[in-house]
Amino acid sequence: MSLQKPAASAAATETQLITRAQRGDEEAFAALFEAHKRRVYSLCLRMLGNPTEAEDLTQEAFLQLFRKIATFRGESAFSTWLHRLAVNVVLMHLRKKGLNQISLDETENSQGEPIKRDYGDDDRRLVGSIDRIGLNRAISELPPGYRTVFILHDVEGYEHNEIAEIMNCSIGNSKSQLHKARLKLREWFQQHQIQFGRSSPARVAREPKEGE
Amino acid sequence: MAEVKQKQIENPGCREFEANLAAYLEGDASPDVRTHAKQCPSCSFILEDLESIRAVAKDLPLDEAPSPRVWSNIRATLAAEGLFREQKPFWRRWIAAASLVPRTAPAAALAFALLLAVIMVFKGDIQRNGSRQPVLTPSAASVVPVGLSGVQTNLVRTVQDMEANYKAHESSLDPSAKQVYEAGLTSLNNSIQECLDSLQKQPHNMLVREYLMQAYAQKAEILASAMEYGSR
Ligand SMILES: [Zn+2]
Repeated sequence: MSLQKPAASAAATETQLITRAQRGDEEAFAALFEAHKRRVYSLCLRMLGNPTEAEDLTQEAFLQLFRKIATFRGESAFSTWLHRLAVNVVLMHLRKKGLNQISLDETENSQGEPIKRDYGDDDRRLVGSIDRIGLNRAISELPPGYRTVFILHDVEGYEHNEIAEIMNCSIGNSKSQLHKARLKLREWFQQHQIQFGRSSPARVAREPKEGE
Repeated sequence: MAEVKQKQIENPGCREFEANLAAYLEGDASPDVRTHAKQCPSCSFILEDLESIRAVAKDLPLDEAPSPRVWSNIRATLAAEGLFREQKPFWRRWIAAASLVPRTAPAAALAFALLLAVIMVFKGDIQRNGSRQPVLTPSAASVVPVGLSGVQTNLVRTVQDMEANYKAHESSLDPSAKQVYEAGLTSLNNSIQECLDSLQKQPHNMLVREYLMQAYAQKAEILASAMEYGSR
């Protein structure tokens, strides 16, 4: 085995795995699953909030991918392809449950709603208390439409035009939904700070934990 | 209970800040937002918070992996649909899935040595108790022990199928080769039997269970080798 640039050799290995999977090599399928299972499962779990459902949809996404793998020609990166497929599987599932639609009415009505502020309390900044664990919980408590847009944009890094296409909504819709999602997350942190943190200023100043 | 005091925005600058905030965070708005935030603590907290949420979101850790059932379902479905056209020998798949047999030869040899060592210990124990039945019938090895995982049960069944296959073809083996295989199989059957006996007494002894599965895996290796040899 030669030690080359890790990124290049990882990509080469993945290309080889794809070629082998296209030939029907079971080990290659297993290796592709191993390499991508965490990311796909994380996406499903965040979007759905339910481990059993997330596993079912992880399974469904990989099955769809493997059935189509013979048609994969490398136009886009394999992981991009897989990821997009997983997003579609999750959205389809949410749609069946009537959950993921962006509500146009809601978007328009709440446009001018003022942001919640706490006047007269100089220490109400949240920056130190916005950590990954809290954010994970806060995301899980977002209404589904907000949650989807937030996860796609801020967690998974999709652009608004992609989200508009995926969600079948306008770009403006995606943007306003994202903004409201962020504001709702901020409110979550405000509420939890009121519950647990007001009498302990140390919590406000706490740094987010690194390395988890 | 503490309550959040909320007021309507009084400052027109704050209202403008809010109106432009979303666009600013998207990177396509005037710098008014930043300028206002510099003079207005309340707005600057909002801006900092939202930027912080965005930054932390980018960096969320991946969750734990899905449970092994996900792959076993995928595997079973793909196999049923005939997507695995290039297959490893079937017995090797179970072994790989059971993760019992180290892939490299020295490690396998070590595992086998460990197995033997443990079996010696059990032997002593069993003989002291005097409860062991020394007769090993062919059917003794065809018992599937209770409490095994799906993959382990599959391994046991696979080994049983392989053994039946071997029995059906053993007459075609070269006698000296057959002798070697028989010796190996007898020793492993004894090991399996002793593990099964021990498990009857201590059903929850994970170590015994593990050695039992290693013995099955070793047996699969021998049977596979015999079949490969026989088909030459
Ligand atoms: Zn202001």
